[in-house]
Amino acid sequence: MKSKELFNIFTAGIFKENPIFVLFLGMCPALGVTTSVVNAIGMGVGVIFVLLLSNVIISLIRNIVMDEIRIPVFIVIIASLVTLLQMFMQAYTIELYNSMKVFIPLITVNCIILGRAEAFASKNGPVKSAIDGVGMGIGFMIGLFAIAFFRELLGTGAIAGFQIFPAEFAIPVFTTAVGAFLTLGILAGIAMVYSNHKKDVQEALEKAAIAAKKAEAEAKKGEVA
Amino acid sequence: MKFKYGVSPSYHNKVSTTNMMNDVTIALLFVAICSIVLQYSLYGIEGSIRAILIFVIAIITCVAVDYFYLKLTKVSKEKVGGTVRQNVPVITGLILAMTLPLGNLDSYEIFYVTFISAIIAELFGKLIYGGFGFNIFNPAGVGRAFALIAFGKYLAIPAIDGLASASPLTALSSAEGLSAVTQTFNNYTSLLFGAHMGTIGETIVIPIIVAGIYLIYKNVIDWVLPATSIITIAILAGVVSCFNGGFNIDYILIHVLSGGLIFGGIFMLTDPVTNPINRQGKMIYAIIFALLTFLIRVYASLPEGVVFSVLIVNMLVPMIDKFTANVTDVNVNKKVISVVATLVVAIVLTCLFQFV
Repeated sequence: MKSKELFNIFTAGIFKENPIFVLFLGMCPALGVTTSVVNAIGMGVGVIFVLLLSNVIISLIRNIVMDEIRIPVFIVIIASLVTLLQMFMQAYTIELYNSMKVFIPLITVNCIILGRAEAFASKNGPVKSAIDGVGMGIGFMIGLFAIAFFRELLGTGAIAGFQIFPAEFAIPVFTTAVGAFLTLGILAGIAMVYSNHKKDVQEALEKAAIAAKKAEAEAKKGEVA
Repeated sequence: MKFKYGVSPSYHNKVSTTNMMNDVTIALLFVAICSIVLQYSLYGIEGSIRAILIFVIAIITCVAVDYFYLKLTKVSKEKVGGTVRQNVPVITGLILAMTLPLGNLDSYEIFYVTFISAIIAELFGKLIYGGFGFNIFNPAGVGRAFALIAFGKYLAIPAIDGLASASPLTALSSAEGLSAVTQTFNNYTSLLFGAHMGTIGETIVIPIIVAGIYLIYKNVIDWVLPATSIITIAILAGVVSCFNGGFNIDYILIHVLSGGLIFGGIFMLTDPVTNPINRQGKMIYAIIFALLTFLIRVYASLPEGVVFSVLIVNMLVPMIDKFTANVTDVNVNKKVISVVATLVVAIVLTCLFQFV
């Protein structure tokens, strides 16, 4: 297997198919859990863990599961992994567990995990699936981190307990759901503008390359003649 | 394939966008100067300095945001200078500043609130949708609503002479209701000249009406919008007062004259972009606006509902346009029937709320 192909699979989840800003998957935690940066990173790590393991397991059993019952089987695997994660968090990071509460069991129904299982892991081998899971998970965590960073900074004036500007100048609306939608919309818009711009640049480069080739060919013709 | 868009200049009307906007700016500046004088008479020199500062902050922020956004997004050259030269962001800033209160006289948070809400008004009210001519909501209304949601505690209306008393509309929705209001505000000259508590530019009725007449004379705004909304509010207030112990002219006059009804009707409802196309649609639009304002004033926990009503009816404009699309001057019957039906529905709804 070529390493370049694997690298492409890995970066697709982070940039080209970023689950939050491009695919718009997993909106529930993206809006609910991003009130603070610590929560966002905790949720991101949890999703990476579940996504990696579920992708690997599903890609291993993809040939022995009948097509008719594949979704229930996937759900059972994901739910058991999430239960594992929940127990781990309750045992070792009780503060994070308390502040995230209902959003941990909700990872089960997170569209990213089932979506990747269905779209990628059930068609590809375990190595590729593992890399896809990690890439998508990191992309998800970056998205959550970006939203939480702006929400916490604008809403409270502090990042993870470190006061950046006085709390009187904070805009409290950013700690509510309204602020979550605003931040998500603006960041997704910026990501869209950036990717469109990149596409335009690429198209222009391709056109220039074709034109250069034509010119070269014509020049050669002229030489031959 | 690329489509070219442009804001339509209404040349058939002899009123170009630039002239129109200049007239609106003149009218708004007139009201602004009157309100600065009013703040001087109410709170002394400090009041008028605060008012001037709020105006300046709002206008400069709006113009700067408009200019730099269009520059950064590389919109064509004419448009970058264009909207600024047409005074469009200046109008947004002026209207926004007039709907904000002075804030507590010994604190300076209101200037920060003005700055942030001006950015929100210009950016999320207008530029995100593609600039002037494409916005769905009234930009100044968006800024004002954001200020109320995000900074509610800083938007206190200062007390006159250290006396803590409610504004007429706050008193109306309190338990004592009508009798308290008519006792406190029995002087209608004070209501007409805005010598009571409220926001900077909303309470000063006579100059607003003068500015409105100037705009109607210049053919900039349609008289149907403010007239319909004021008449509808008067009818609704009359109906409600009939249900609560007899017809009462004071109740109607206080509903019409206090608060931002006349200001909103003349300057916010008539925004040329967020408006139904034909006259019948405009009447229905104004009736729905008046109904919502009245319901929010009387039954909601907010004392004033003009800004929120403007934003809600802005959302209904495409629906109203679709509903009235095939109405021309030929089939007058349908025109009359639908306007009357809207009015009747409004009155019935108000009566229903009386008994809930």
